[in-house]
Amino acid sequence: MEEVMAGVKSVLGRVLGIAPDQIAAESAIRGLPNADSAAILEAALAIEDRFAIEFPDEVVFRLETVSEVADVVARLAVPAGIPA
Amino acid sequence: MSAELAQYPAIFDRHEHLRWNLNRDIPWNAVRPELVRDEDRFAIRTAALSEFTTLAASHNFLREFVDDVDFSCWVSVWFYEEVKHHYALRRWLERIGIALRGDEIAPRGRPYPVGADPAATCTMNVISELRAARWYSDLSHLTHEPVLAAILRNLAADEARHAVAFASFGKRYLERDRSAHLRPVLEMAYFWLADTTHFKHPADFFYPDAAVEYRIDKVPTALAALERANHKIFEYLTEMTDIPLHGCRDLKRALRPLVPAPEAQA
Repeated sequence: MEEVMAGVKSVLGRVLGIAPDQIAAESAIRGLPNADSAAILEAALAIEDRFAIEFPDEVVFRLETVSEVADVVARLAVPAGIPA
Repeated sequence: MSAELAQYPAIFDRHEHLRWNLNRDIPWNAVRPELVRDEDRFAIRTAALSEFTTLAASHNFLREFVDDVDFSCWVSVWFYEEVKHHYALRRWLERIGIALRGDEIAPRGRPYPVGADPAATCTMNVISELRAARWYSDLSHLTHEPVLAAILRNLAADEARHAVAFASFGKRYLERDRSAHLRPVLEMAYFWLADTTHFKHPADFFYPDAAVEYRIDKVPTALAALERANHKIFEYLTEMTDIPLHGCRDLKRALRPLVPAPEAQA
C-alpha cells in the first residue's frame, strides 16, 4: 500500500507541478494547487498508465482525497498482480 | 474579428419554421390543475429555476465568443428561446397556483466562470441540451396535464435543435484547429458524462448553493433520462470529432495520446 501511495503522490505531483512531499494522504484532491477538472482527469490517465489499471468512470471525479485514490488503485491493481 | 456568417443564417431559417408562439400555440385556458401530480410540481419548479441560468450563460457566451460574430448571432436567438422556456414554465406554474419566489430565482442569475475553450463550451452545451431534451420529452409522456405536456413537447424540440446548433459550431472549431480544440472537447465530454449516477447539468453544477431543494439531480425522471440521452450524445460527439465514440472508455482512449505522460513534462 505504501508503494501505491507513493506512486499516486508522485503522479499527482508531476501533473499538478508540486512536490510529492507537499501532498498528504488526507489532502483533498480539489484543494491541491492547480487541481482543476482537466488536471484531475490527466492525473487519472497517468495513474492508470502507471499501475496498469482503469478507473471506473463514475469514480474519477468523485474521489475526494489522495488516500481514497490510493485505496481504489490498490484494489484495482491487486488482481493484476501489482503489489499493493 | 470575423464578420463571416457561415452558419447562423441557415440555422436561423431552419429554426424560424419550427418556432412556436407562447401565446398562440399553448392553450393556456385548458390547464387542468386537478390532473397535476406532486412529481409534476416538483419537476417543473426545478426546471423553471434551471432555465433561468440562461441569463448568466448568455453573458458568458457573449464574452467567450466575442470574436465570433456567427456564433454570437446564433446565441442571441438561443437566449430568446431559453428565456421563453423559463417564462412558459413559470406561467404554467402560476396557472396551478405556484409562484416562484424572487429569492429562489435571483441566485440562478449569478455569473459563473467563463469557458476556456469555445469548442469545449459547445460540447458542454451539446450534452446539457440533449439531456434536457430527453428529460422534457420523458416528462411530456408522464404527465397527465395536457397543457404541460404540450409545453414540454415544445421545449424538448427546442433543446434538441439547440444541441444540433452547438454541435455544428463545435465541429467548425475543430475543423479550423483540431490540435488546439480536440483535447479540451474530449476532456469536457468526459467530465460531464463519466458519472451517470448524477444528473450533472450546468444549471446545478455552477450553482451549488442555489435553491438546493430544487435541483435537477433530485428529480427521479431526470436521472432516468441520463442513460437514455447517452446514445444520442455519443452520436453527436462522434460527428463533431470524427472519432468513433460510443462511451466514456472511448473518450479516454481518444484522449490518452493527447495527454503527455507526466515524465515527459518533468
